[in-house]
Amino acid sequence: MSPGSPILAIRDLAIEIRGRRLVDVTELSVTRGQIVGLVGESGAGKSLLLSSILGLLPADATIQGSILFDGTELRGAPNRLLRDVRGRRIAVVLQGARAALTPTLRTGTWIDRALVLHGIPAAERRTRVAHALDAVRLDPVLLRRYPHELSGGEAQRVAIALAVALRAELILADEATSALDVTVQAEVAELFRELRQREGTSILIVSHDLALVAGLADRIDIIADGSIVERGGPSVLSAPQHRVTRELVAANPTLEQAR
Amino acid sequence: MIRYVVRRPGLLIGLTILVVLVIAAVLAPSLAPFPGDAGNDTNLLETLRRPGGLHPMGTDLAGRDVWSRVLFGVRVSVGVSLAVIAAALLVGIPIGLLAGAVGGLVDDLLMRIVDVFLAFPSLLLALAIAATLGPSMEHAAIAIVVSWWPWYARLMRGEAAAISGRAYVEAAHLLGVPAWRVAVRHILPNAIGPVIVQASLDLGGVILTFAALSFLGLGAQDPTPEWGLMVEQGRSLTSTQPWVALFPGAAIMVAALAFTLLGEGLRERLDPKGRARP
Amino acid sequence: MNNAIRLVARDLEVRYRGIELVARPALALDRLELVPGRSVALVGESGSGKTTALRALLGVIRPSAGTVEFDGVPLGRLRGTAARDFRRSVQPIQQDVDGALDPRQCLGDAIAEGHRAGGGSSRDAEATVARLLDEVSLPVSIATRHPHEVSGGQRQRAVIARALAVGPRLLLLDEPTSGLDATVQVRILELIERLRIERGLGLLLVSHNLGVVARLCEETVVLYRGEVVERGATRALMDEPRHPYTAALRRSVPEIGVPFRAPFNPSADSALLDGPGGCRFAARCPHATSPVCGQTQLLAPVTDDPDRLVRCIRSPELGILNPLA
Repeated sequence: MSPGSPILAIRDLAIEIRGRRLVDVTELSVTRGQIVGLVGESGAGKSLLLSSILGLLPADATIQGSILFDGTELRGAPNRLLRDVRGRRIAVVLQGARAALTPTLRTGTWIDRALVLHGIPAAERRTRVAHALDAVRLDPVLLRRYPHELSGGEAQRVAIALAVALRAELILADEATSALDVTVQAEVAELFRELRQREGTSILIVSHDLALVAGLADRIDIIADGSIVERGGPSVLSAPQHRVTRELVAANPTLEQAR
Repeated sequence: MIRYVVRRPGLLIGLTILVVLVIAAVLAPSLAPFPGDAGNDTNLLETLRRPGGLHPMGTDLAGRDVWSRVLFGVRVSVGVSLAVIAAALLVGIPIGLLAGAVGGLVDDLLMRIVDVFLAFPSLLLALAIAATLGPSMEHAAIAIVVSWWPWYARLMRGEAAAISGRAYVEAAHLLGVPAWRVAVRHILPNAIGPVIVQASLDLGGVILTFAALSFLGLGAQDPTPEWGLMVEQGRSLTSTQPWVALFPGAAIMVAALAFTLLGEGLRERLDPKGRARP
Repeated sequence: MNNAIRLVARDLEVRYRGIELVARPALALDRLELVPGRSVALVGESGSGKTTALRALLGVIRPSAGTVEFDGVPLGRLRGTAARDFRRSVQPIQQDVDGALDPRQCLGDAIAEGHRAGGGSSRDAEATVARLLDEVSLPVSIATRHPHEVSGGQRQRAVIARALAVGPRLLLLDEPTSGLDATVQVRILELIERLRIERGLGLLLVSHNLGVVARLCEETVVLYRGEVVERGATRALMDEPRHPYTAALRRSVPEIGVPFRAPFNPSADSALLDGPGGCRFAARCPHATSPVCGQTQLLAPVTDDPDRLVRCIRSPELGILNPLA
């Protein structure tokens, strides 16, 4: 783990929709090369928080507070800046990544177009894609396939490959493994670890699966009703303080316990 | 609900006109100054009077009050159109439901029959029926129903086939619910949305078609106060006594517009899959 | 109603139409027996054929080979009261995600429909609905709600109540907890367990999650790409897997307090990639070697345990695999 300056620093973030405060986070940071897990149940506000980082909130939402990405304020930033950051410096991997891919383009073309969009010249595109495929352990033959010809796990890997090709410094993964088979999920989790190791990518994982995050993240933040109720390294789960954390831990019995 | 309507001017206009039409239809006998003129009465002393005074819309060639005839015309033109759509739905929906829910050979057979009927444009059919049976409002109505129902059957069949594949339909079958009940209780309500929307949009079109048929002499016959017929009767007089054709013509447009606006409003209200939003 | 019912699949094969040219079927299941009181798990991932198996057991899919028999009669030959008894005795619980509830039907009506389909009278429908809602721990007030107005966990409970209303002896559950929050999953599993004991039901649980399976089922059948690769008593299978895929599944289940493990470390022998007759798992197997793994693999009992079967030609020499390695 390489300690460093925070790549993402959220302060006093408050998001309201129609008078209801749905997110109320005093502080949340991710340092370079760190994997942070944000765990909570549905409705806890985790996806909303993630959307706010990229300025992708619903029209009737109001937002206050500060979201610093590598020292630059993202909240209320002009579109030009956000467009540059989105996708290139901050990549998003969602549940069911296949839906994020353009159905009429072969995946290779899709990746190439995204690189073109962010101004990467032709020769460099080739090297970057080759490197990304290697990092993600994706068979180049899959580049010729259309999204509907890919399995769920393969589609996820394509989305992550793009993030690598764009040299994203931060990956936001929103339930990125929830719809996947358990072995595929483990492979994607392993992939995240490798990315952190080899490329120094920081990763913010949002999930409702505490056990998955526990095995992966350097730090776990438990979110409930819009606020972070407890946080710490994986060891915090062996002696949880907050009621919500205890409930989440209890809901993930080990296979030994199932006896 | 009221706020919803007010925010949509099209829907508001459509509803307003509809209310006016309903009032006209229901209260025609009381509102019309010369109710008999909508029937057999004529007044040859008052032919082709300009609009004004006793006759706000003037009189026609037979001296009949145009305003009274337009009022009663709501019952005829709109009433028959509603009946025609209802009849087409009553034929088309069960056939489409059966084809979509059962599938296979039944589906193929029924849709082939539908295709045959779809080949007939309503005007040609009306001509044929009028030529054989003699022109009348009833025959024109039959002609329109015969040429219109296949569209609803086909639309219904598509929706029913899609809904039949849904998990809750299969669940109902697996519970042991008899097939007919599954079709009526689960497939029909979920599939019917787009058909109803189409029907409400078609109302405007049927009013126009019916008027067209009557205009051609294939539909309503004198002295029935059908708007299309009235337009035909005033056709040759448009340069000198325009009101004879103008007012019934405007009535046709207004009624057709109202139903089209209502249909669009309904389409917006039901989500694209044809299921009403909560 | 006959309490001692049996649903048995024998040498079941399902091939999908149009893909006859492909050598191998979508599902080849040697044997599966369901009776009230026993619970069996079908474990596998996408493409394993587990959902196909469940649908064949329900009679929704017709087998290309083999039989599915209910009380000795093949499903295709059930008529009249026998067919009706089958439907009432064997009920599926679908994943709610797919919309197993009619969006226009309120939950109370859905359950009442099950009650009537099971032969109940309209007179006691209301009382039955109340009783069932209580049994699945749902408030009676929820009967007037529609599916979109309640949470995922509540919808799942309603689906269970509807199935119970028919009075089944066997429940076939397809991923009953996927898509639900972890805490909700636990409660649904507790509910299923309680119902199983209280009503003496037989269960078939289809899942890709070993944690879920371990809790509920005595017997487990592991499927990989349409074939049974290992089967036997759940506990033994989990603690001492003998097929590399079972071991990989076990490794992939995230557990708090257990260090993270990468699932597969495939061997480099690419010659084994999907040969016509060989082991279908070879391409991802850390123990795959040619030429033996390229040969047809048979499902064979492990020595000294006839109920434990493995499809791996190397199993005798590999022995028990440590999933935690």
